[in-house]
Amino acid sequence: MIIVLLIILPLITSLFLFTGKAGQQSKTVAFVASLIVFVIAMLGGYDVWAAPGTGLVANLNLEQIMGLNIALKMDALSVLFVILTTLLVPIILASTDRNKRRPASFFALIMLMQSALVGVFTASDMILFYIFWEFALLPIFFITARWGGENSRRISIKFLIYTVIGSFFMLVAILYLYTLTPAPHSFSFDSFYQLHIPYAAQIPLFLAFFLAFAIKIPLFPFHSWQVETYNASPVQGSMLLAGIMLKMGLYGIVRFLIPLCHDVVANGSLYVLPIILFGVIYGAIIAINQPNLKKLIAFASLAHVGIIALGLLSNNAYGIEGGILQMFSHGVNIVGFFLCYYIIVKRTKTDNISQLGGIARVAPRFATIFMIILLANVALPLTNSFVGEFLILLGLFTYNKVLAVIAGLTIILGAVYMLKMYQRIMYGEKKPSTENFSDLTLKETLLFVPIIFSVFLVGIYPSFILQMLQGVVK
Amino acid sequence: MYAIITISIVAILILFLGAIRQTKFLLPVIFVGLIAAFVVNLLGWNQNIHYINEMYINDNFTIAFNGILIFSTLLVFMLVPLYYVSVKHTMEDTYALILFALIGGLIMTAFGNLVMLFLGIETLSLSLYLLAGSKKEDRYSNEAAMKYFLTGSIASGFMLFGIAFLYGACGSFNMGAIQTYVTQHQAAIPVMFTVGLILIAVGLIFKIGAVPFHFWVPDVYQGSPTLITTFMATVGKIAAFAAFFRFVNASFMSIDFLWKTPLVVIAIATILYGNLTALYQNNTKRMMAYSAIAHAGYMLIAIIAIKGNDAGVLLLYAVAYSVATITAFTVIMMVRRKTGSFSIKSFNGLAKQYPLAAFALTIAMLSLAGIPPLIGFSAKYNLFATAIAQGQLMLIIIAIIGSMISVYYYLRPVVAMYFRPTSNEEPLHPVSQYKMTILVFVILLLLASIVPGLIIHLI
Repeated sequence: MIIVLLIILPLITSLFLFTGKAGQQSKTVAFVASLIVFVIAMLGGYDVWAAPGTGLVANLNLEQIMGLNIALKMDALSVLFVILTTLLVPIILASTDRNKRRPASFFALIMLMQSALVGVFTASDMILFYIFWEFALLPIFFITARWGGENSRRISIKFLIYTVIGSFFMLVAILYLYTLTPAPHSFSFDSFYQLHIPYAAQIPLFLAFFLAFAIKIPLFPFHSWQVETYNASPVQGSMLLAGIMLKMGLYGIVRFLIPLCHDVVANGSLYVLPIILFGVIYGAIIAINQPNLKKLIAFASLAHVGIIALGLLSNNAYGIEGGILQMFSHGVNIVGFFLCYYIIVKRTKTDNISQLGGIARVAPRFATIFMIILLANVALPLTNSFVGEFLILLGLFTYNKVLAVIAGLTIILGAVYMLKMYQRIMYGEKKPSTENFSDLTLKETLLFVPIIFSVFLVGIYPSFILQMLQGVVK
Repeated sequence: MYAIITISIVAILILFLGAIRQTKFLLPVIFVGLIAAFVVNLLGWNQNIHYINEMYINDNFTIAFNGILIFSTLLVFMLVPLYYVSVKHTMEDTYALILFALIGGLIMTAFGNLVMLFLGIETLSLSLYLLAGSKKEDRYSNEAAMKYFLTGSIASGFMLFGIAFLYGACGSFNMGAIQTYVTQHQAAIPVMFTVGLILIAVGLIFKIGAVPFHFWVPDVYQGSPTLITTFMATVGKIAAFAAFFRFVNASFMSIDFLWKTPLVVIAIATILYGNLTALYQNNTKRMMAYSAIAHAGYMLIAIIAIKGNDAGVLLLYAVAYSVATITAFTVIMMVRRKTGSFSIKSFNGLAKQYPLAAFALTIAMLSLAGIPPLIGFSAKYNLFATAIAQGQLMLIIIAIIGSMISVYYYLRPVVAMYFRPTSNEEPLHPVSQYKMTILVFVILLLLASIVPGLIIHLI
């Protein structure tokens, strides 16, 4: 019931908002609804945490009516992403300007997105998963294209086509797996997990799933939509994309790629990992010399998700656990990052790093919060990313020492571009645009509270998540 | 059978009403008549009655498909008051022809005998030839009618030849007798039989508009009055597919080695050709014509993957295709009335002026493209899953690539409506009367998206 509520409630809110009846109150309506959803998600999360083996299950047998089985399940893996989604959406909603153009449909699309995302993370029937997976694309497409900046129309179409191509390959793989299940065929995850897929069949399956996920994550060389799309999106769109939606691809790797194609993952990762690693270094190096703050975040994100993928595909428990934990942390951190970006742009009207400087002097509270998020991003001990990255590197080291050493170097690169950026924005001489930079208001500070809280909570006490995950990883 | 009689009476009544100049009763009579026919049709459920020496078979397959045909016609007639708004002369002949065409379609889904099949096809086709040219003052409409008539009658000729050959080989027109003949001779099928089968298949492939007999589709769809195009694209196509399905299912299942591979090739060619060519169309009506060709390719998959009496997937596809196509054409007609053009540019900024129409076209297009959770997706995935369970992996991969391509062209009008600035001219004609009709279509489309399971398990 809890899972159904988590999907239905945002959907109903969204439909209500679409009618336009909420008018200027749209933001409040959406925000309150998302808070309620968050509370429900926490309740569900507690149930799963208390009994990690079973998880929550909702099986509405609607085969006769809807032609598909509404089979939802929230296990330890799902719950992490459901909480991530339901935690971030209220923050994203609250950060939006009140005088947004056409607010009703904007907030309606975000709520629709939330509904689809929770659906992706809780589906336990392949077709249902695919439906939510594709459905999540439409709101973000409209958000990017309608509220985006320059060229947003062209870019969002490119993004859409790119990801649709990827997911169609996934559809082929799903249909193929369906034929392998014993008659009467079934799309349920469990029936897929029980398959003994011959190695020769695992290779095309791996390629099809990997392509779909690699485009979504995005991994090098399928990343070309990402920087453009982040840049063109309104910042709330970027938060949704980077914070939650990209996790869909990583989630897919854990949920399908590793269990279904385990032999190929075991043997073939050695071919895939160097390419991903190259992408990580590539993203980090471009980020170092990036004059535009939003693009810098985009390239940094490219590097970070690459590291996560490395951990997941390193095919051992450390790497996978670390990867999953890091997915959660990255979601929180990147939204925090975009929030800082948004505040800077709102105050200074520019995201060109060379036109910024000296903010720390006029806005110490903002500088402190920005610093915390930044340090979390470079994986300082006691912050959330540290545990994840450490486990990933440990996993990678177990798998292949050379790869692990090179991947370890990218952490240094990360520190280089992050600190260089911080120094140029926060310290040094004040520029015309930052002269009158006011410090955070109370409301803005409140937005950061849940982010900072989870940075330290996961950083200091990660075992409450890791314990829960152990069952999943096995 | 009684549905056909009901509609025939209504059609004759319409002509009579026209003759005595009582035109204000035309549409009410049609609506009442079609609803009555729909109900009468449903009364035969689960009875499986054969009429006239098994020439007409009233089983659940017939009833389900006839239900869609009658319902689609009803939807098309809902558009009549909007489409023929400025027409001065009386319309009774056009309305009656649409009804006669529908009767042809109803016969096609139910034939138990090749003569009946031919009769159905010709009743539908002859009416459509006339309807295509019903905009008498328009050069393109005349051209469309002429083209359709010439090519169509050649196809009919092929078909008649084929029927004669089959009769020559089997000594019967009856599908049951042909099946008996096939099971007795499946080890060594005579050449005469094969030639007959091929010729009939040519006729049917022409009617469904699949490659290589698709060439008439774009010109005829574009040239015909849009309302007639809507009717052709939905009722005409679904009837032809139901006939094709019954034809194969009734008698030729045991010799699928003869026809399966060629049909797979045709389906692949149709899907690729339809989708790729649609990419380049700037005229929405023409784009819909190529999309109709592509959908013929998808529906062929249902015939390739035919197994026993599993017609549910074709039925679901037919419903999905029909409702979405009629919705799309409604908005296209509305835009045409407003701007005088069918080009994609004329959709610019529509979302601001008519959000409901823009929304309707968006979900119709997304459904046709097969994007979840709309009914078009359910229809496609059921179709693909059925075919893939029978080892047609290559075909399905190509079908999926085709759907992938289609996303691009289906989105073009959507992008134009939402993201391009309008040319800012005031509407030329009031279009608010479309509102109710479009709302009905939107509700239908969304409702159908929720309950695909009910449709697929119907037969």
